[in-house]
Amino acid sequence: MALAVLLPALITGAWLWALWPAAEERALSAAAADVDAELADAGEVDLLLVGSSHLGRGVDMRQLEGALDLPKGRAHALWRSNIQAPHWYALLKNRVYANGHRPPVVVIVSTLRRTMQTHVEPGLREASLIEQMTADEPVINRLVFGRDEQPGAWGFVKARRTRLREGLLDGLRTVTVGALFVRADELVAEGGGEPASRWALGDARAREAFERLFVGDNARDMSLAFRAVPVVEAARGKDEDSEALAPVAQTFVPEIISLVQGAGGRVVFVDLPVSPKVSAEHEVPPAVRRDFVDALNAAGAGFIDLHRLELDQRDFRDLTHLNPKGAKKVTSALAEALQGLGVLGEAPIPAHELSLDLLLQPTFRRDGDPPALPAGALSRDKGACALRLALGGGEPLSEPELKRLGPAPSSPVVIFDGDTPLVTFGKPDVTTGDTCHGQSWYAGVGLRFTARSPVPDPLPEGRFRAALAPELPLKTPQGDRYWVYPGTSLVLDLPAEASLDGQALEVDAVVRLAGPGAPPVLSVGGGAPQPFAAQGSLWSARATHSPGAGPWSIAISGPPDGAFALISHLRVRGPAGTAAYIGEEVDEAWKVEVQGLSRQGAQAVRFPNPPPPLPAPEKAPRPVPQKAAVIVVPRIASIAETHISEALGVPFASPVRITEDGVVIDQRPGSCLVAREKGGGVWCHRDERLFISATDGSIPGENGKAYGVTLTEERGMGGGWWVYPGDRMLGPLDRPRVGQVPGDVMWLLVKGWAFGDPARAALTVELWLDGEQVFETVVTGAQLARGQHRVDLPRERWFRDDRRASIRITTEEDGEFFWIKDVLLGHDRRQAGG
Amino acid sequence: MTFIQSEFLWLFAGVLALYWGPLRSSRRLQNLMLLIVSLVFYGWVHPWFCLLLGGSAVLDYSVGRAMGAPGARPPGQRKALLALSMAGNLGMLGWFKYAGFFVANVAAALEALGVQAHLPTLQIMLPVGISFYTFQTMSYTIDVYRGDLQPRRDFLDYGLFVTIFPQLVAGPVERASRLLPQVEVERRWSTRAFTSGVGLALWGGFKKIVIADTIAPYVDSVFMHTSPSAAMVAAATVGFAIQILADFSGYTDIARGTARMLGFELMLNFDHPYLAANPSEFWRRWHISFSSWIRDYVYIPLGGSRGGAWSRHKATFGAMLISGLWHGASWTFVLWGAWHALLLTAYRAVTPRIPKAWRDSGPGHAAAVALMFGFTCVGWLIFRETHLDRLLGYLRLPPLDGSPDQWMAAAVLTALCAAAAVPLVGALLVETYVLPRIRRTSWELPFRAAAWTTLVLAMFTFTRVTTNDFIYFAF
Repeated sequence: MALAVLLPALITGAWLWALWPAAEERALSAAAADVDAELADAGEVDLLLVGSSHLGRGVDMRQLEGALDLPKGRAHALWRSNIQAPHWYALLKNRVYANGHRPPVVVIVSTLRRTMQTHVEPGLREASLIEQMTADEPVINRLVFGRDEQPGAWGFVKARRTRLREGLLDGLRTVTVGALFVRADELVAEGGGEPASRWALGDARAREAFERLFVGDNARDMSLAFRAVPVVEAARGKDEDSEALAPVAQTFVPEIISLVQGAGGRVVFVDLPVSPKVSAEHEVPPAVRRDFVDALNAAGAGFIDLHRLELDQRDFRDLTHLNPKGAKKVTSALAEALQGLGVLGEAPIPAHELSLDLLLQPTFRRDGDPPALPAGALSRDKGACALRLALGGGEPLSEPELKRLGPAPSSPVVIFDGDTPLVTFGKPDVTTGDTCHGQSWYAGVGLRFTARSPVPDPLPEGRFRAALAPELPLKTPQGDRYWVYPGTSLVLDLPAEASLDGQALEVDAVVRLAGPGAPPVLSVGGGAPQPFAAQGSLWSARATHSPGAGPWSIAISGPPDGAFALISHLRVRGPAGTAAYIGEEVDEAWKVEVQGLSRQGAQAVRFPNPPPPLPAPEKAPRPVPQKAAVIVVPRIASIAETHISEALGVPFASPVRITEDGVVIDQRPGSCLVAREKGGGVWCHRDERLFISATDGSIPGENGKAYGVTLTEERGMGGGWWVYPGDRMLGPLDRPRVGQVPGDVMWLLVKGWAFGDPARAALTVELWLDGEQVFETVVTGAQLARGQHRVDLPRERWFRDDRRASIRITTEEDGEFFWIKDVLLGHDRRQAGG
Repeated sequence: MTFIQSEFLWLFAGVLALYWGPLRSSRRLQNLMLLIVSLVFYGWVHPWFCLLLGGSAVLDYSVGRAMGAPGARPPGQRKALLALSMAGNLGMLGWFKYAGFFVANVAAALEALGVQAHLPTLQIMLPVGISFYTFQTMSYTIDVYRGDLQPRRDFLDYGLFVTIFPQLVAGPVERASRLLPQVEVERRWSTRAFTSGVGLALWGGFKKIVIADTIAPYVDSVFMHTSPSAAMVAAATVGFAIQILADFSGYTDIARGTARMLGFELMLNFDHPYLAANPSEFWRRWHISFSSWIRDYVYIPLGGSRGGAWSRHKATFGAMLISGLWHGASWTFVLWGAWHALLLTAYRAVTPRIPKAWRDSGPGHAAAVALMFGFTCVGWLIFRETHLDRLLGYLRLPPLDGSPDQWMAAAVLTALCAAAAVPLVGALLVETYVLPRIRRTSWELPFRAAAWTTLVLAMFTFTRVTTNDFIYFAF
């Protein structure tokens, strides 16, 4: 009996001995000591960014320092995976300020939802919070644990059990990879140093491999992996509750502000974007966002809202974390916003104004029924199912006519088979006359379609008819389209809370008109209707109104005998900014590109200089199993194929070429696996290493052949041009078009990417007229971090006459590589008066 | 509610205190409390599920009463009543579990014929455990019809037989002839039975939390991968074999353990199934309560082994296809059933051609066990992958292809499978060699206490916030 008590006691004792924290550990956990060491290494900084892996993945610190003109090392990112607002608070309080660090500016970088959350999931997150807590944590205890007591030693036990579990699983992985995938020769020390540890190598190799293998779509949320059953739904409901946001006053936001400001610092919160696939889930309700902004404005803290930054899935490595390409874009936007707020200066941080569309959440509807279309002639095309239907009174809505007007396909005409609408915008290549898919597509001024079942002769009368789609918006392969039919109104209803205290709103609308008849009118909040006026192929109207308290609406109404109107843009300007409800948010509507160099346009661009010679490889090719050898060329590390394809989204656009005995191998960069295992001249480029193989199957380095690395003469690649260091690119502008420019050229837009150190990367862009340089600007790599940079031009009327114009681009010899997609000149139609 | 929710632990502790305390002397009060607790347990998430459960129970109770003992009514009327029960239960099961599947397939078939049928897409929630309790209540009606069981008068006892919470949502599929008599007799406290129940439940919890839930995310990550290698799929399939065994047998052990603590003995559901040397033996070791149900109520009525080879194959395929479909409304489950039917049929055809001496030898048996495990894993691959196109893609993967990263992932997953198998093999060794020697000796109690402590601490160490539901809750 005694043994029955003793044995469990011994086991429990051993378990607790392993997990019970020592007094020193409770005072300063290993994780906390790790942060202390990191901050000590970082030293004095001007800018401290705090966040989770969103920050770690989403901000390129080197680029940020460059863009903010900060000396290297003066900005530091303090981040850990799986942490959130309570952790940031603990880090700032216990690790930053308690250790005497006084960063003048603290930037909290995360998603707004994560910033507002106080709920900490038990497990890894709770463990990492407890590790960062001290014995005196009234704020965290109140906001997270809902009590005044500390989690105590038991909290540490729970934290360490999580670490123990993760350690066991990570250890298993490390041992497996270390034992099976680390070769003995990799453990040999080079130059008499410490030999590498098999397990450390195994750990690193496993992490890297799984990072590559389970990235992107393969890194999806595992909780959805299995079949959903009711019990899961219940659990999921609870999770949603834990995602519920507390009022701002009950979050860590005011606590962090007061902590930073109490230490004499300035604080800025950043709302990062997430993948478009999950952006709706991360969206914070407008009222919460408004309260958050109000709280920040009242406290003098800054807010940088990047959550609507124009990114797509290719900018993300998974659903919430950015990849290097996305991080470049975000860093550039962040730097611009930080400069805009002047946070590194002394002036008070300006109050943030919420974007109008975040305040006003509109709904669209159509007033009135779509008018009927006159019946058109029905004829058999070929096969049992394929037919043609002429557009009786709908010729203005035929696709060729719409193409002439603007974007296609956008026709609102739908064919009904009985009462069932056919699938519009069908694909003729998948539809043959004998398969009854029930799809329609445009053909000339009519439509071709396949019925949903075979159609016997004679063709039935009344079975098929063309009608105007009632949907709003109309879903097309190219996006949503908003049509205003004759005799109907498109109404944008704004809710009651859309009151702007009587301040004026300015509404701009631009439409394209199809068919004869009068244009529509624009009215705002019951104000006087404004007619649309022609501006070339577009018709625009503007209305200004002080709507007062909502609800109220914006309407575009077509007269019964009017034309069909396809809305191009509908934008609202108010005291809080600009919102675009249809069309682009930015002023693209008014941008007109008048001239430029573009690969799409196939201008005769010349590169008079030969490609710069590359330094010889540092060492002779070193054979690697089985068929390849490695050569190291640090100068071209920045244009490794992996970097290029990631940045440009275009594979195999590398300008690097390999020579074998002086002859260029006829291979673009390919798979490293193939190069190593199969050879045959295949090569790949990873950072500064090139894995090369011989064309005859022998092993480079052992076959006596000489291998070299060059840059190709052919600069046009992947839809753009390579501009090498010390290069010149000359492009004449199209003379007839130059003479047709209707107004002043107001800006120059360079689209492209720089590779390498953004601080060193710079290209000079010059504009020449009749052999005379009229404009010169320098575009840096940091400015191109988002893929494009716009330079405002002086308001000179350079293009009024038919003058010979060209663009010249030059780079420094010791500079970096550029890939230029377009160089465009343009003017702002609205500012320039149309 | 599930067994691994903290709410269940509190509820069950309260139930035990009342059950063996104030209510100990009254079987009816004990049953009444268990009935109420079972309904709370079942209706925890969606109370309306209790209406279905009640409907099924009332239907079969009424049919049983109306049917009476053999001879009480003309055979035609008894048969009609049986048909009513079958129609009611299978209709309910069909509607909630198979209607969406049926409609989707009809629409697909019509479309293939060139007919555009715009059939509604049914979004019907699957009530948890419906496949289990409908089969259980049907067994009651069938047994009454056959005269193997007397119809019950006491609805409380009958209701508890249907709803008793330990086995309600995922079995074992108890027979009325086994469980009803236990419901109808006084329960006596037995320290040995109680402690044995505690140990069994703890072992079940360990299998679920420490083994199944630990390996599940790794397995899922491969089956969600857009382009896994053959080695990754193979390792993940073995991982899934371990996961589903630990998950389902873990649930069963918790069910049997909790029932034993309440004085009920539920039937054994798993008997080391991966030690089976042939398909026939596998089904005598895997989900025994269900496979014996299928044998008694489907395979034998379809002809079983009574006729010739053709009749036997027909019965085998019929029973296994139904068995597959029972697991879920998906063609991959049907395919899984067909795979096992094929294995059973092939086994019967091949076995006579293998010399008995070889079959009975140690190496021969070991080879058979290994081969059968491989076949079982192929079945689990079919079972786990719900998309036919992906399944076919896996089967076409070149076995030795893969990037170094993929080989690394496969190796790590294999190591994880090996680590996960250690406790299962250890338990088998303890069960075979240790427990028989220490039973009823002074070492038994210390050994059990030490084992329980280890299990509890391991569960505490491995428990996470996001645990997976028991896999068989979905069926």
